Formats: sequence, structure tokens, C-alpha cells
Amino acid sequence: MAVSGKISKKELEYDGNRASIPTSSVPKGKSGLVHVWGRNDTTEAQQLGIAWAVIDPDGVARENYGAWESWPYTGAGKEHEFIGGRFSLDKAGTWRLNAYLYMDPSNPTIVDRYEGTLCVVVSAEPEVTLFQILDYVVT
Amino acid sequence: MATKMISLNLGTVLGDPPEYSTGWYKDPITGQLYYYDATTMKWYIYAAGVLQPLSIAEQSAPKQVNIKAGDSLKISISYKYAGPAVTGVIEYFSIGIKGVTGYGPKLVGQNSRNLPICGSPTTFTAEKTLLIPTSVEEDWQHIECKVYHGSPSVPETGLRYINALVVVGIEAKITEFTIVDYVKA
Repeated sequence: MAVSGKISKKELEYDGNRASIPTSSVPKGKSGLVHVWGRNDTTEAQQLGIAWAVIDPDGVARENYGAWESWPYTGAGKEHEFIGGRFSLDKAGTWRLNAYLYMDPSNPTIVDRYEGTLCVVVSAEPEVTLFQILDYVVT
Repeated sequence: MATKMISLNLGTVLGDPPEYSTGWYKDPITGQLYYYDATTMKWYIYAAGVLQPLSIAEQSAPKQVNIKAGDSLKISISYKYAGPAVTGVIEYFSIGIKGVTGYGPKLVGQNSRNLPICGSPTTFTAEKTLLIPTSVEEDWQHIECKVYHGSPSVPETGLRYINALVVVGIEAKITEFTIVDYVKA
């Protein structure tokens, strides 16, 4: 069976706000929730599956999520929304999302993937570090 | 708790900047305890069981530069910033004196700039050229630079170099001349 599909939309929800992924300028300390839509590009209904990892700026996996949709499955040209679990956006910096859309649970096949920035989390308060006087010279 | 003594070679020309490792330090004169975080290059003062950030760290200068009236002294700084976009941050450059009441700036220059939103610590550099005036005095030996102010407000963070400058070319002058007495010898 030929399978074909796309990750058609992906959004980050944080404390009542929704934004497309990748998302910039998310305030530090918010609670994050990933939404990913998979689209069935075949001519018949398909059971879609998803797997993703949310990785924080230090390279630590903060959410590992995987699921196969339950019946009724996604019709031709239709989309299905997957919603993960909550995680705390508690580190400033760039967070990553590695997401994989699957079809055919009897022979799981990755039909699309996104490996990139989830969001950029910024400190709510300005912070200055590593202050240095580089040089002082008479010119 | 391993405590080390702060070693300041005041008045000595140093070949390299002083390098401190993370740990506790004690001022040999006052006995005050300090903690240094080498990762962020930040000093903390220990008082009443609490560590408080030392906004303006003070170090022996890595070199001494001769200055005289009419010279232009260019000072360059760098710092890392993380946080929301800020407007009107002040980058402050000064040379000054140090007495019993602390540091006193005598010549000041400053820049105002906006900082973009930075999700991770991002390096910024700045420089300012100060024109040494004819009123320069011998004790204008120190440099202090810092960043502060803005909206939202950036916490004051800076560095002071002690004995960074040697003022030369000051003409000898006599002050407070008085005739003390005159008597028949």
C-alpha cells in the first residue's frame, strides 16, 4: 500500500496563546503544549500516527510523545490533530521539535518529518553577564 | 568551604589580567567574604548568610596606560545580554578617583542603545573615546564601565579597573602659599 501524507500544521500553545511553530519570543516560565496536524494524501482513509520529542536548550528531551489515532481514521485529503502533554518552558534559549508523521501501523512508515526549532524562549527579566573591559588605549 | 585570599597587586604593572576561579575569597584587609562565579564572571558579596550580586566588580587593572591632558582614551567593553527587547540602555564609561568613600567618576562618557530580544546570552560590544581635559589630576587612575537603565530596566552590571591609568605631564604647581610669620631676627 502506497502511503503519503504531510505534517500540514504545527502550533505551540502556551498559557492560552497559540502560535505557529517555530515560535519566537515565548516568555520564560510558560507551560507549553504542542499541536501537530497530519494530512492524509492518499485516496482512502488512513490511520495516522505521530511521534515527537521536545528538546530544551541544553539538549534534554522534555516531552516524548507518540500515538496512533483511534477509529474512525482520517479520510482522503483530511487532517487529524495530535495534542501532546504539557511541559514547562523553564529555560531561555532555542527549543527544538523533532516530529515524525506515520502511516500503516502494520508496517510503520514515516511519511513526513519536521526537525527544527520549536520556539525561542526569552527571559522575562533583562540579564547581563560576562561584562568585560576589553581594552583601553590612547588613540 | 574553601576560602581563598584576594591578592591585589595594587600599584604594580601586571602582564596579564587577573584570573579568578569559581570559589570563595576573603578581603585580607576587611575580612569580607566574596564568592566568584567564573562561568558568568560575576562577584557576589556574602552578608548575613545571603549572597548578593555585586553589581560593579573591582579588579586590579591588567595594564597601566599613561595619559595626559589632550589625549584621547578609547575604552572598549563587551557583555552578554539575554532577555526581552530593551530601549534606552546606557553604556557608561568613566575614569575617576578612589578614596575612603569609594569610587568617584571625574570624566564620563556614555552611549544609549536599544537591545533586541535575545533568547540566549548574546554578545554586545561598545566603545567610547574620552578626551582628557587640562584639569586632569594625578589621582585619576581608575576606570569604571557599566550598563544600566532602559525599559524594561537592565540591572546595573559593570567592572572597575584599579590603577589602570598613570597621569603624566602635570606641571608642578604651588598652592596655598602663605607667609607664615615675620619677626625681627
